[in-house]
Amino acid sequence: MATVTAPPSNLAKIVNVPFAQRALVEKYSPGGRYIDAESDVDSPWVPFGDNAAIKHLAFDVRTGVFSNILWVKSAGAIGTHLHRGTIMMVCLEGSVRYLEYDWVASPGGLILEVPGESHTLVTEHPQGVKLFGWMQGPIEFYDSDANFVFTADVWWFMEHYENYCKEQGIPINKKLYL
Amino acid sequence: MGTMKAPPSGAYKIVDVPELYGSLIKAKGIEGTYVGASEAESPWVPFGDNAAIRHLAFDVRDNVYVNILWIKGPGVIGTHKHRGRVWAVGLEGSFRYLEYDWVCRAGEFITETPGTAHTLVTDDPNGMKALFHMQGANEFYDENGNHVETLDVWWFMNHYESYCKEHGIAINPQLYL
Repeated sequence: MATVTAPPSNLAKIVNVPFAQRALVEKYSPGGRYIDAESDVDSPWVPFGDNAAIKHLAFDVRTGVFSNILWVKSAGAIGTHLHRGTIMMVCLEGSVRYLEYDWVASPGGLILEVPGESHTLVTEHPQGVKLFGWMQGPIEFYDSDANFVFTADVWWFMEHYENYCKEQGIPINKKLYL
Repeated sequence: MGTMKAPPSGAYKIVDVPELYGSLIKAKGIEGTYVGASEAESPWVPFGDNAAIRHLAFDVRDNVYVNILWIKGPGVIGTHKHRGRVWAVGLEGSFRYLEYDWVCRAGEFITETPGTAHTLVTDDPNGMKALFHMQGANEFYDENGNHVETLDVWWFMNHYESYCKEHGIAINPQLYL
């Protein structure tokens, strides 16, 4: 049995893949999709405090997954929060770090976060940071005295998006709902 | 394209599966686990006066935990809100939620989804046992709607480990995925 070092890619053409359950996939799958995150066509920047905004990209209410771009517009912080789920983020612009860790994320860098961790996000970059995130589960925010403030989960993010759309007369984009 | 009606099962034997990455899987893969029925493998840990939990698996990467909940006689597990997904199978007796119109009995299956809150009761004289596969945070509230505590994989792991320490029971590595 030979190992393949790269996929067959001699022709840019659609090949009909034999897959016995194709009809079921067509009937039940929500389908993949493309969200134009570079423009505001699919999803607007929604203010998140005075110095930050969120561009919502996906909501999956079956698993509690949400995806978005967090934009902190200049040097600033997102207060200490505890994760109950698993997070993947990619730094797109600027830079970001956590007060608790010794690394600084720069564009193209990947950040992983796991259940049970709490930390404090800061950007010291004059242009702040843009972070793409694919996140699961609640995020619990605490104030500077370690008092619990609120929990952000898929429902919080969805409402954040929908409220802003309603206020601004922007139609809800069904593509964001997995 | 044809599809199989049932798995090939002509021979009672182990077949070597052609495996390109056998050495990698052997070196880095995680073996599945087996937790037998004995209390030495996982004890019933008290959960209040009328209930106990038998912990079966902890996955700290995904905040998943699996256990059997046993309520020993008619009783209640107070109102709680899920931020993750739950799958459960009734094993003995019956239970229901005050919020829903169904009753889960032995062999029956339920799911619970992020954002739902409900109050588990058993009206069966012998209570209930059910297997729960849970993901994420589970927030408990008192009868006035005040948040009491949020339980997740770490709470369940601590529940298991604390009891084992108190009773001199060895921690079973099979529970840790």
